[in-house]
Amino acid sequence: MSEVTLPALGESVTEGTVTRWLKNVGDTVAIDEPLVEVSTDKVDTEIPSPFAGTLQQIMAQEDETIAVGAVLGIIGEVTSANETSAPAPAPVATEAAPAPVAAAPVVPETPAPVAAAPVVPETPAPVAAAPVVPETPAPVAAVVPQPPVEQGTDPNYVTPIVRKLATELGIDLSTIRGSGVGGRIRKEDLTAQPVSAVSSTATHSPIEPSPLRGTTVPMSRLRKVLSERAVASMQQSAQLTSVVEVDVTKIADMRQRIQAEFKQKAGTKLSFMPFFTLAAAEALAANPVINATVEDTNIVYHGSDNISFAVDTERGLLTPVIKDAAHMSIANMAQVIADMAERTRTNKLTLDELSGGTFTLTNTGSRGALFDTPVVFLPQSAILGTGVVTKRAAVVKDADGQDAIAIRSMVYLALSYDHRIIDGADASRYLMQVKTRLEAGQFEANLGI
Amino acid sequence: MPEFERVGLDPNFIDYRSGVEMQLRTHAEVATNIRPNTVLLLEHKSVYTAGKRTEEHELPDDGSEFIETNRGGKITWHGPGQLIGYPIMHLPQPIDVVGYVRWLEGILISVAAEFGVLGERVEGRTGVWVNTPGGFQKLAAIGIRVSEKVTMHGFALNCNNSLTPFDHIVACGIDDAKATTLSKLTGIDISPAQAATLVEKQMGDIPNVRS
Repeated sequence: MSEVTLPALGESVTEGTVTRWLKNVGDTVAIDEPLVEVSTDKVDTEIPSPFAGTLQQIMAQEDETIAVGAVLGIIGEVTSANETSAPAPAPVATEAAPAPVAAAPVVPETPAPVAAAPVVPETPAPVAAAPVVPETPAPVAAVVPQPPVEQGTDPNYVTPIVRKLATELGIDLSTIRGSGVGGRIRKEDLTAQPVSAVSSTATHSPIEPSPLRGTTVPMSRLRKVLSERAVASMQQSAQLTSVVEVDVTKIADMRQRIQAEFKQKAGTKLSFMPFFTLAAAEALAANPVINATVEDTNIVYHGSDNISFAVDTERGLLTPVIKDAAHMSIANMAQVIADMAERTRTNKLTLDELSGGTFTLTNTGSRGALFDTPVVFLPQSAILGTGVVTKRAAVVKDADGQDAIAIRSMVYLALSYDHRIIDGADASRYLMQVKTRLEAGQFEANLGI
Repeated sequence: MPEFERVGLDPNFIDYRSGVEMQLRTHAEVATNIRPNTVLLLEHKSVYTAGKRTEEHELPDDGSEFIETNRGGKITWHGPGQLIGYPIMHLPQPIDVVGYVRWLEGILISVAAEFGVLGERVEGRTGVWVNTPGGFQKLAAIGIRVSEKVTMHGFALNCNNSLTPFDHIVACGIDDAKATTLSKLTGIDISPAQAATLVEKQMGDIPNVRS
């Protein structure tokens, strides 16, 4: 049995994310045959098998990020049964030798940081050659930490980056006792900080000051309306927020399973939004006070569920309305959301499409927030904010009914509501119904494809 | 020196899928040593492409057409006025994928310099950037795939393309940086064909950076 480890793919590469296994457990692989695909920063690389044999175990699953030297999988020797399992057989392939890193930490998956810079208005640039324009963010590459790649076996060897880090931190390397193989000094030995914290200083990218700094700009008409409505909402209602955590692993699995088919049939990508919208809309039927409006001393319970959803545009926040959302299929909902979001951004919505909402959904997680305390849009009485869906360690029951820790796709749902007519128990009941619906993951009948 | 092939420059724009097919065919031939290292130079028809590290929330949720690709990197736009280079080349062993990306950046910086544009690397952000009074703006994007130790995909250098297609990605708020083009920076019209000539001049063999 031989371990296939993540080879050093370059001087500054310390980890990689498994994107795809090209072989299944039980498959026979030849030396140098592509085995698994690993993604690092801007590059996807096939890792050829250093051994011939049978793939016996996959240790690093798809989407998992592992350090250079950590074990990807195990290949059993089918040809020479007598051979003892050498800990580090020389790879036959001409790939870089796997670096012997002991128990390299697995870096948790985190969303790429997205900086929310203010919208830059079109302003005459001081230099004609390079005008400032409100254009294009090119995609930001996920910041890949650039700590040392340990290579070679000389315990006295110190990688340039460890040396650099030591200099930056003012640490005398001769005073450090290395925790790496053979006592080599790893960058973790220089700091108690987790890998990501260290690398964030190492790869700090410059933050450019906005040209708006130091200027005074009149509010746009939309900005004035938003401003007045936000203050009116806070002054005229008694709002507060309740948050639940929802395990959406089943929906995540379903999306993965049917994504290709869905896209083909529905013509749009399947995101979490239609599921959240449907579950939120359905639960309104049994919780009419969440879908109500205060009129003087009356409570108006609306007869249909018209979901406003928040769309961030360059002009500001707009909320087009999906009418009768509870009766729509997932496919239809996805199409309507995509179409309305597009027309909201291109300013092609009709007034009718912007009015008549009875409840609002806001995807506050689209830029990575775990949860918000959204502001209720009057005359509505509640707004549901969906946080970012992230993989977290969660306590679940295993097959034997015992508690176990598993990797689950989790999301926070935050409901802001008007306490004048909605009590905390009402809000909780509503949230629990939404949660139950989502966690059951039974949306096959609602797909509409 | 690799061989350069201008497979489709203005007005013969290549649609993205045809470009992928060309790459795959060339890749198979280079990997089996039927043909030497080859660099395909072209302009695409307008398209959004999403690399493997694109995350759900970064997709244009406005219904724009996009194609998922097997290159590294995230979502971007390609189209007329942008010089696309697909180097299909054997990587020196032991492979250094990051070294390769840095090498490509260096070539594009040299090309930009010929037009009097100072391109720079920004740590943590692959590609070529230009420091302007409005902040760092992206001049060239890079996304790579390595299969059988031979590279695929490559770079996109903004020459005289429109920047409005990037607006949909702006709307998604995935970034705090903007894009620019050689033409915008210099005030003169610079076509992908002109930039291609300089790429052919500047690009030699991949150095073995780890030797």
